[in-house]
Amino acid sequence: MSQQETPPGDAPSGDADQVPVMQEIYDNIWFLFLVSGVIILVSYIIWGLIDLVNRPTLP
Amino acid sequence: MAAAALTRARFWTCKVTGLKVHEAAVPPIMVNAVTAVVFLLVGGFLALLVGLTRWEAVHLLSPKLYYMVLTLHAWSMLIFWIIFMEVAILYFAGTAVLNARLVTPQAAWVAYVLMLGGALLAAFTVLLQGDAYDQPMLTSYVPLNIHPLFLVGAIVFAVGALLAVGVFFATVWRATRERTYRGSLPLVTFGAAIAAIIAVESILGGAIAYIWQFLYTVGLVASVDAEMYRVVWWLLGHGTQQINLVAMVTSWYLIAHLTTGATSVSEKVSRTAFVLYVLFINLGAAHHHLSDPGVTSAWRIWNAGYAVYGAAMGSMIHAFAIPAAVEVALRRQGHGGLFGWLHHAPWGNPAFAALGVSLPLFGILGGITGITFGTEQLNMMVHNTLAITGHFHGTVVAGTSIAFMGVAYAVIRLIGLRELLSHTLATVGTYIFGAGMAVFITTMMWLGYFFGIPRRHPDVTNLPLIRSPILEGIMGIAGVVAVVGGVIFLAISVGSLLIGRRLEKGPVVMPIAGGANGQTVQGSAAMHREAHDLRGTLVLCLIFLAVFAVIYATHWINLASLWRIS
Amino acid sequence: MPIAPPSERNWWDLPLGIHEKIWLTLVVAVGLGLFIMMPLWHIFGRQNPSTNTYRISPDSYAAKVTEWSKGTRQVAQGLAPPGQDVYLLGARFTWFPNAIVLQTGVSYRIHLSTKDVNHGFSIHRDGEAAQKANFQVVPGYEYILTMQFADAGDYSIVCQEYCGIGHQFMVAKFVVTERG
Repeated sequence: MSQQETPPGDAPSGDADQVPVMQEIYDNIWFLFLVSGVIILVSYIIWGLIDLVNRPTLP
Repeated sequence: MAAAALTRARFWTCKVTGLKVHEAAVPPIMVNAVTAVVFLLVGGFLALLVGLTRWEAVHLLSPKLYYMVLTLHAWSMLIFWIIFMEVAILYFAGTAVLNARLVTPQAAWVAYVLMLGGALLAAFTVLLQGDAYDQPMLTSYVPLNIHPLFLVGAIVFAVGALLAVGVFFATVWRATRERTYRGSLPLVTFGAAIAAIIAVESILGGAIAYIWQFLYTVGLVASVDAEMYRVVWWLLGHGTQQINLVAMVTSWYLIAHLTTGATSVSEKVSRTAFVLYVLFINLGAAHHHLSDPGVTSAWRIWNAGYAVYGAAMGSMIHAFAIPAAVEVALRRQGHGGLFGWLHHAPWGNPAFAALGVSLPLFGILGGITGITFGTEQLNMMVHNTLAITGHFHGTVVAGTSIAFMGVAYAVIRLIGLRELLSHTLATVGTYIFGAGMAVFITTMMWLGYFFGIPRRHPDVTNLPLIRSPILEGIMGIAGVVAVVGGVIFLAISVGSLLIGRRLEKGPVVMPIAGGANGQTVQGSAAMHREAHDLRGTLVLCLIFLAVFAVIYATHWINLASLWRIS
Repeated sequence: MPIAPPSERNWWDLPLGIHEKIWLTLVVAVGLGLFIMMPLWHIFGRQNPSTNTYRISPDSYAAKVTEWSKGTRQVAQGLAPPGQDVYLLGARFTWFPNAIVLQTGVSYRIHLSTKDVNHGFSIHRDGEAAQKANFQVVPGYEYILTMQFADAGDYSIVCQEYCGIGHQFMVAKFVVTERG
């Protein structure tokens, strides 16, 4: 049988809900996913394609 | 529905870590890991053939065979061995580490079938396609004449891999909802999640490139801009290598813990390094275009520079954090002095040997050259030479692959529940592989950097370049030594799975309904509050930095001696 | 432990040790330094990869090279260009022209493109270690490198981007003679 676990909602120390904003950001992998995707799309893909499209054309 | 699935899921307890392992997750983990090892076997055999051709005194393969074998070697190693292994690691990190169930095993099997089917289709096309088509190599740049079935195989593999990554994310999502863990994700799962995010970006980029190319190949699209294709393709090309980097670093934390009880000295520092990775590391794909027409210097500098080297800072942080964790753990066991802890590390443990070999080799051989070769102006001295091949063998082989071998040994014991046939041989094999690769990589870099020998070349004897038959010979012999180390790994890993002594599971339990995994808090909290003695790690990292500085300065000095180029 | 959630719920506020702080400071300094080197070399260095590029169709470029070659002078060692523009056409599996005679101290504009697939322009100063430069040659793009050779001698050019079964045969050279 499973061990007696700490019931949900009981925090072992008093800090349970006092997590700093930066840690909340770090803990949210979905947010990190979004930001990462935007950075790569804009900085690498879109900027790069704009560079290439802007090359002057010779006849 | 979810509650019903929850009560049906069965778990057994790992006797070593106390983690709860979802029974239905074990076959997907093991099958992906075993498939990875099979591709390593194939790729390793092909490596021997390639190495014995580049060693011109042996000159084993004709140009036609060389290009085919090189293509299969590249795909077997860089894509199939590594990605199947990463899927196994993701499933492990999402389930066992979180005491959670895989969501869902059925989807995981579909992903596996797609990945394997795509891989086989691509591989057999390469074997059978005939002379009318160009060999795709790893980089099947438009407008090479590529067989459409090869592209279909690659696309199907990519879809399967994306699905596997989706299974990981669904698993983590559900574990969070079901509260199988409390607080932040464990560091190993966090690292795996970062790798998974990078994987989605990379594989999507590749899928777009291959679908675009497929449409062109079958005539539905009139033309494809060749440089745009390159820029998009390399999101897959280098992105997949960044997955490897993050998965490797995550593996290092896991192995350090399993072998020495090490834990990160500062979660903030370790996680910051992973966050730097996820934000900036895929920008580095731009270092493939430093000597390309069309892109501007600003784009090159910003992107190939990882946005002020943010991602490189991440690597340098991990390079400190992991040895630091090991140092603290070993000092606790009573080993003092500057390096006493290092001396008493478990060098006889095969997984620790993998960590101890892959971390410095990655840093010195792969990491330093990654920065130097990826510097806008320094790149022109090495673009498409054998030095590049040296760089990525330093990162992907000496780094990631050796780390994954260490993880494989751990997974065989903890999940596969088989004892290794011989710990001694496994350890010795790791050192042999590391030593062989180190020499192999260094000679390739020397040949590429000083002699300008090109990569992917079937016969350099007719080129008007100075050559060094001695260096080629050392390269060839070192490559053979590395293959011997690889064979030992294959023999021990496969042999242990087949006939290794069976290990016992811990008790089978019902799923934890909403609780934490019961770790005691006090001991670890106390550890975080005392000051740590990290002198040894700091000295090692300073030595690394000094080596880096010397190599970096040398590159600029050499560049300055070239004629005027702009 | 890395296989369990951090024992402190709020790990963000845990203090760092002195060794960590030293290393982190160094890491940031190194990152900044590496980054600044690149723009600095653009200002102070004499070797920078070109960004001078035009779009042109492969067939137009091939015609342009043929036209240019008509204005060159045939000398013993190869073709001598009429002015400072040098044109090279990569095509499976040759360079055209494959021998060009240049002079030291002249700033040449070297135009590169291909009639078919990607090729690589890899130029080596014969007999000298580490004296080489490598650039990508892409169809649809005319890539113009500016080079000025200080030393006379042979400079071999090999293709180092896989272009098909005959890739190993793509060889050319610049013969650089003393000016004057």
